[in-house]
Amino acid sequence: MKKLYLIITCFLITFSSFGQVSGEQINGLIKTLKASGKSDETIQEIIKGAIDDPGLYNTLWKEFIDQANKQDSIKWAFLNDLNIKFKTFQTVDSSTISLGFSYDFSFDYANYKEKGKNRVSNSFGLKALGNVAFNKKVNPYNFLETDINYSHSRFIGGVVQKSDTAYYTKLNEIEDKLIMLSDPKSEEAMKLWNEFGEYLTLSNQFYYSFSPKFGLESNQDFSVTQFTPGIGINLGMKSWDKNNTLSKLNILDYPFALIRLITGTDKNFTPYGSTLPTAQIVFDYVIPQNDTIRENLIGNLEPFPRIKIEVGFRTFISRIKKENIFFNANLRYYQELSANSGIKSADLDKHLYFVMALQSSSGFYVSYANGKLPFDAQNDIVYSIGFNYKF
Amino acid sequence: MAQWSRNNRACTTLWTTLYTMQQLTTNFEDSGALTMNDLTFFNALSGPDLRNQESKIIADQLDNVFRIGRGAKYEQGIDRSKAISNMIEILCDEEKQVNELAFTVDEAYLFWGE
Repeated sequence: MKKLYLIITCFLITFSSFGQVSGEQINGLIKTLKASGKSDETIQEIIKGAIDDPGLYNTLWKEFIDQANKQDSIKWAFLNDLNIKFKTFQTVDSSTISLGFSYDFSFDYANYKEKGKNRVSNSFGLKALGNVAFNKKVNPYNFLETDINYSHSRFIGGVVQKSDTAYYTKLNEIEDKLIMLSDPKSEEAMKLWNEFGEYLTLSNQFYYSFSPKFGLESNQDFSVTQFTPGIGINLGMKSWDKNNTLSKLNILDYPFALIRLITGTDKNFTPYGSTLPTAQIVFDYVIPQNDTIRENLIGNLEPFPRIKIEVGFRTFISRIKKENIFFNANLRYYQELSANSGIKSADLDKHLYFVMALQSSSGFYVSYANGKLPFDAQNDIVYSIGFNYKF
Repeated sequence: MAQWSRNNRACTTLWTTLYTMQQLTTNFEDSGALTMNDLTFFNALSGPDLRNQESKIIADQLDNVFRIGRGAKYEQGIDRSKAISNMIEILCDEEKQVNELAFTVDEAYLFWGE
């Protein structure tokens, strides 16, 4: 049945222009289905399925952006920073499904300067993200975040300077041989890569930044809101040399290094230093505005300090035929500092949310999510298997 | 858009650099059509802050390798700020392809031997 919905979706898209599906087109579709002998009941089910399918809206949204960019790329440039994905929502204790969307928007104006060995950047940014279900009762991720921020960042290391032009020429020569090989992991290629590494030495790279910010958090209907001024610290490090000790310390990548070895993706057990997780630690001074649950529990809406930690990890698992398989994970932890006993007993002083997914380059994914975000009343466990269509 | 070509030093240098950075595992020919979410750094589950942070790290390292490791210079009218900002714009967009990144790189850098 899903396949049929997809065909119909494609049909609608083929006849749509600038993201609009007219009543005339739908009537045309109904006539076509009637002509093929489908009953009224089946036709109704088909139309409802197509209308409830997030794939339809994702395609129309993409079509809209493409058309807008064609018409006036400068005027609509902000759309490129806005990432919207339509999807279906369902909580674990409900059979109701709702269409909705997730969004994230990130814009920053930054400069990147180099002073001697120091590489720094200063940026001003605006960020927004969240999930909105058209039926708000079945939104397991009922949390929206918006903030403006300034960020000062510093980058250290990455490449060992050789300053010898003969090295550059030699690297070009080796590169010219490597690009001709159909298998970049063949014995011949490995010899060339080893030689390449003798002339180009990569070192560990470190990154940190400080970001004062002012944010607003809410649920999707803004019945609960709070301001969150604070300061964020972003940390990242990469070990680009697979033989470096830091690469070997990336224990999160050990299970996947083993899979890569078993599947023959890598010839040796090789944890990737390039997949060391990145982290963000934010110290917020939360100022609740509307929050009846909190007010009923402790009798006031006094501000409170909070720490938020977010960690992201992604690694390569294998390449099967033309498909790259990746493992992705993201963890968010919120802890109210010196929380009132009423808040603690209601289990509202800390929130842990974890999501992980196996994802292929063609769009297939299997994901698992567990936990709750601030304003969520309970833990939700969400499993999903799906396909992100690339039209 | 510039073609993904063995005769373009921006394309070949970008490919060897992404390969040594463990961002891709495909041969040169197959790599141009890879999208950003086919590269190892692009974690679709992360919030925009972390994804932006990863993109900055990758862009900074590409700039490092091109100039310090491979002897590239900025093209006329381009500085580090512009080169990196343009790369980050591509790196943050999951649907952009490696050949589009190569086009941006080609506009920003004059590679050794070009």
